[in-house]
Amino acid sequence: MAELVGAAPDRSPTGRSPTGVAGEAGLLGRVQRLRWPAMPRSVTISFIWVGVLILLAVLGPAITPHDPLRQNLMTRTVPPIWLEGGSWEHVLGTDQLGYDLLSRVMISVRPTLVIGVSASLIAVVAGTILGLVAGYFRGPADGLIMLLADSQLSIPSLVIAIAAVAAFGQSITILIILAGFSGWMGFARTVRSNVLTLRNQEFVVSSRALGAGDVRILSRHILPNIASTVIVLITIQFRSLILFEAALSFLGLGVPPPQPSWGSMINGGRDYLLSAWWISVVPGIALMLTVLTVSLIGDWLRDVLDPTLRNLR
Amino acid sequence: MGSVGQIVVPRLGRALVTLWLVVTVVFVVLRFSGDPVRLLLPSDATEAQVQALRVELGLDESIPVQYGRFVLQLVQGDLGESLRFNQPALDLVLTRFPATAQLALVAFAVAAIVGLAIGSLSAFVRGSALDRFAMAVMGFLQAAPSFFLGIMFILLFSVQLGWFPTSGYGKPSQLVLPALTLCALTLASIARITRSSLLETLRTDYVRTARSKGLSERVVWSRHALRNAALPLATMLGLELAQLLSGAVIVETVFAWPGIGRLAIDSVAARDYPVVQAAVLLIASIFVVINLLVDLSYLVLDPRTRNG
Repeated sequence: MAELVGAAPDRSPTGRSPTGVAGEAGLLGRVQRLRWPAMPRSVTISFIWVGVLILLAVLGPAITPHDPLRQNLMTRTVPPIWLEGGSWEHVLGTDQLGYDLLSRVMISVRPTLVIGVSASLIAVVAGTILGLVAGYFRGPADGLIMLLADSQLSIPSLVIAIAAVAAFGQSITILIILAGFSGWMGFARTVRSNVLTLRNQEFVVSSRALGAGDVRILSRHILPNIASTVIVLITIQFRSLILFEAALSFLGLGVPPPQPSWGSMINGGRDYLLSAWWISVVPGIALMLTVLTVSLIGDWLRDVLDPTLRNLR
Repeated sequence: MGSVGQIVVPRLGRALVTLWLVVTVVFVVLRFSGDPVRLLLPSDATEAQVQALRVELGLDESIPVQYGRFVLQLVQGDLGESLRFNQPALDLVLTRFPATAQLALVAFAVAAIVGLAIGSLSAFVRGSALDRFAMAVMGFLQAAPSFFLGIMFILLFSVQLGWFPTSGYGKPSQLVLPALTLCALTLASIARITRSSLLETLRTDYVRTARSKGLSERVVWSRHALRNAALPLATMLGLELAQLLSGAVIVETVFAWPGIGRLAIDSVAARDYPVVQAAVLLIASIFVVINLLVDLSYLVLDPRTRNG
């Protein structure tokens, strides 16, 4: 952390705040000044996989080899290409209704990423703001926010999600809201504890002495100093939100049909494990690869940006 | 005595706030998700029947009155009747509880014993190939979603090897795969945290002192390292048990295990709302109680906290 805090001022227009050395450094400047270690090959591969996913999420239905929503009873349970009976027509095989698995795995990327990204945004924005307020202003707001966070941490969010979906029905909006509000606590707690140590540091006290307001101190001095921690937390959060969505979809409570999702595809193949195991395994591998690569990227970012978070999961 | 009270009271308070939060969330979800009467009655019910049931259920009253009555009924253990089976929702959920408890406790015991063993072994041979291999496997287990892991286990142990049945409840052989699936994530977390907690302890001054005064490696480990690493581990074990309950919901669905989680999921599909509500409240309450016990266990395990 020491070398990060000691960074020189950057693009900020005039450097009006004479002491705000770290505070004035924008995030971009800080990231550029880090000594990036050589990227391990596993992380490079992870970035490539995530890049492919983003491409698929954007292009989605436009580039699938088959219509992912059209059944074809003539081509039921065709095995993947590397097994006997496989064909180039259906590279990853088909399911019990003749849906092309590759096409369905491809169009499942979009809801997964949309839910993961939007929910992470809700969690990071809500959690960071509440953490800043709690840590900076202290007082009753701090007590209340931490009480809420601790309480919600001891409620199983999956179980609450079951109740909510039972009541409101399945929809992507509900999923985003549920996932988003199941994840703010981690951000709030970590941000708060970082702010608690920052708020009494010299550069913050000095700029307060110079008459800087709370908003300026928070946005120019405190926020840039917690940014790297927050980025690392986002990757951890993103991973668990993808799993949250997949689990709900597996239980039949997630992404509403006819839109397929990896979780619901895995569930759909459960009755065919004896005869056509690939129906479950193909989307399962896509899901695991995604979770694994996001973890690898997260671990690597953590080592680069903020090694103090090493014990977080 | 006063200091113990100072520690117990706030934690008890937090547990109560949490329970209240759960109850309120369930109430809000229930009341603002549409007209419960429409869910209870067949779709061809007349307007008069709808109105009659509304009055009977007290849904014509204001929201605060309804909320008050809801909380009052909960306190008395009245969670309504199941719409599918003519019996109280709470009874129905409680009859499924032993199955969930059995699964969770077996999985927890396996996870705790094997996890602690792998974690300490890894710490003991830190940096070796064995350590790296064990930690890679644990990382893999943490990345595998339980429902997919369960399916992989079925493919391997039931379909390929034919060792265990794919589902069912009653025989010990039917417990193996669900318990194995449920314990995987917990086992991996326990192993990793045990390892890092031990490594941290081994770096402390008192371990170095113990070594420098010539104690055998065995005594250094058993008297100094393991004992001090035990405290964070005990806390974590409790939290992992609570987490297991949540995971049981998914694993029960994979293996058709007749526990609370599966009942809740089936009831969602059948729109049997009182049962969903009872299941959610029961699981959440157990969760909260375990968390409270973990908090309080500090008092026993770490004498420092007693003098606040």
